[in-house]
Amino acid sequence: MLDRRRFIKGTATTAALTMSMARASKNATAQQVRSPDILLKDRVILTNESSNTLSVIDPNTNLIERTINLTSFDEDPRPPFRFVTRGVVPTHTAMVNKALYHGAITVHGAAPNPDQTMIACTGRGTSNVYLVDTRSLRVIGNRPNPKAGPDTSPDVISSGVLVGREPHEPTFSRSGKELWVALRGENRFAICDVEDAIAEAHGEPIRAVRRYLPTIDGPAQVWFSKDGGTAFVISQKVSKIDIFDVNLGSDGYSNPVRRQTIDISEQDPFGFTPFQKVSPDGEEMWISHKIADGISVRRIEGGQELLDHIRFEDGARPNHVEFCENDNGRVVYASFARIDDDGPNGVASSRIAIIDRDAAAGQRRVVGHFFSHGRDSHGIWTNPDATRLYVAHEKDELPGTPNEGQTVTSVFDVTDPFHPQHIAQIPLGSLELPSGQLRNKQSVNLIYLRPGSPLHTG
Amino acid sequence: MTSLADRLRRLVGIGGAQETEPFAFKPEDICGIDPDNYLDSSRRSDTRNTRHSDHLPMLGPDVTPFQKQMNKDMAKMMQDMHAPGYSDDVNVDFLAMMIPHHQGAIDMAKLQLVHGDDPLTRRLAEEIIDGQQVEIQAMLARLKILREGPDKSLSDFPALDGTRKS
Repeated sequence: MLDRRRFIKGTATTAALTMSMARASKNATAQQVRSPDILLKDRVILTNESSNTLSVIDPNTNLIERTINLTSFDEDPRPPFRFVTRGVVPTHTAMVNKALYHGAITVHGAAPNPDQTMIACTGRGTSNVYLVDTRSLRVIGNRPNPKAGPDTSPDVISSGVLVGREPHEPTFSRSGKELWVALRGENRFAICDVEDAIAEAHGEPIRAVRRYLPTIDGPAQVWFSKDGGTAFVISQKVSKIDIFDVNLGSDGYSNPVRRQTIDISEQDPFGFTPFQKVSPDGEEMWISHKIADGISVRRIEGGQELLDHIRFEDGARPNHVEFCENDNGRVVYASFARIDDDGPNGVASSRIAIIDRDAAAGQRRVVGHFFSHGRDSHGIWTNPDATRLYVAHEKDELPGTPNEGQTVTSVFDVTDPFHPQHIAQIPLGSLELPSGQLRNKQSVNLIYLRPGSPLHTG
Repeated sequence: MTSLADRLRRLVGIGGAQETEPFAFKPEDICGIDPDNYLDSSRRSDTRNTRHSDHLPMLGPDVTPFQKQMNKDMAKMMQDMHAPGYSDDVNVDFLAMMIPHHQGAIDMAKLQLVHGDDPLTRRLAEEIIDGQQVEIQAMLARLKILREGPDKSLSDFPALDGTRKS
């Protein structure tokens, strides 16, 4: 076990850590990673909110393998259907307003199913969910484009699964038979039958929503206990957590009943809690209070007792949390939206906080930070062995920087969870459409996948 | 100090990867001249009597890095906007002069991000950078097409809007 005093001494200042990070990044190349902890089939998938695309990274090379298209551009060769028309490129904001556009709008949340063979991602503006097969990396329900050719796209995009207004994060039930989608705009969950969702995505005349579950206002996400028996609902409108008994039947379907509603106004007076994740041991829920600049930890069992409340610096704006547990220690990372000017090599960057999870409950605290090597860090996820960490970023790199004008993903070696080493900054590039390039922009969620294996996250 | 010609070289990305950056434009794209001679405004009749410094805020003795760079960026923008000169084509002139105008906005927005602390203004600056760099890309591409002559392809599938009575 790591000597805590030695670690604290070694990370007494953020500066020392960030300097070493800067040195590491200077020598980084995109191709240098090949690790036994990474399988050939592993993939990292990101949702890009402004471009309505999914970027796929091969962690064996740390290069972009492909961009999955969720837009409807170039299905027809005539100008109204094209992304670029005679040289004129619409801005990311304007592109979805083009006449006859029927692709995704504002792709945001994402989650894998229990065996990681499929992910669901939400279209906030389209009130729907898209399903993606993680082995073929194809959108489920896309059909061949009858007008396919050199000037047109090969597929016609699926309409996905209609769920309701402002869907945020989707979450598969532990049985894998249901998909719960938090509808921030409707103060309820859409609970979909996954089989029916696949049929609906294929265009069959069926609605996959098997029931709507009323909950607290502005539900952001549900996360289930490891046994799948308890559902924790957080909100971006009210300072509350709603807790449900899932009541999983022998058929794998739920019959949820509210157990209790917890007041969290002391930890989150603003009522803006967008993300949570259960710990790998299944004992704790770690909850990110973005505007309140803090994280709270609650016990899963019993009355969901508050174990820790960790405050960050003002303006940190924590987004996601991720656990990293290996032979060298147990930590929790929290990605910050805040962008600091004193990043590596003078380039602005967000920070990621390191919280020592080996400390006793009630004594957890931030023991260090490292730069994310990008602006506005958001989704974070480790590989199954917890030796690699991938970080998504919402904002593009600024003019005058190495990857200027690009949305980037960063990868770190976290073999020593307390001292992440930067490996690469991966520019996401563009989706090559027949009419032009749609630049991948504004990553939100990020998932590290090992298709066919049990879910390795909490 | 980095000269405008050097800076333009950087934007052009001569010998570097920046050549493909969406918001990098070449001087010859907007006025058809060589970067080395880009500062030589005397070669263009329309800029002979222009004194850009007349339009800039005066800098006091306690000038800040922000003020200094802001004036520099604005001077560059004004100079670059005047550089192409007028042709006989309204569409071409608009695009050629609007491209450096947008680049100026991007430069100023970046300065705001470096020096400013109001979150909502910073958000506006981010949006300016996001939107205007794509618009530069579009203007460059459209300018290239229009410089080849009237765009006859528009008659293949008439434009939905943006039309006017001739």
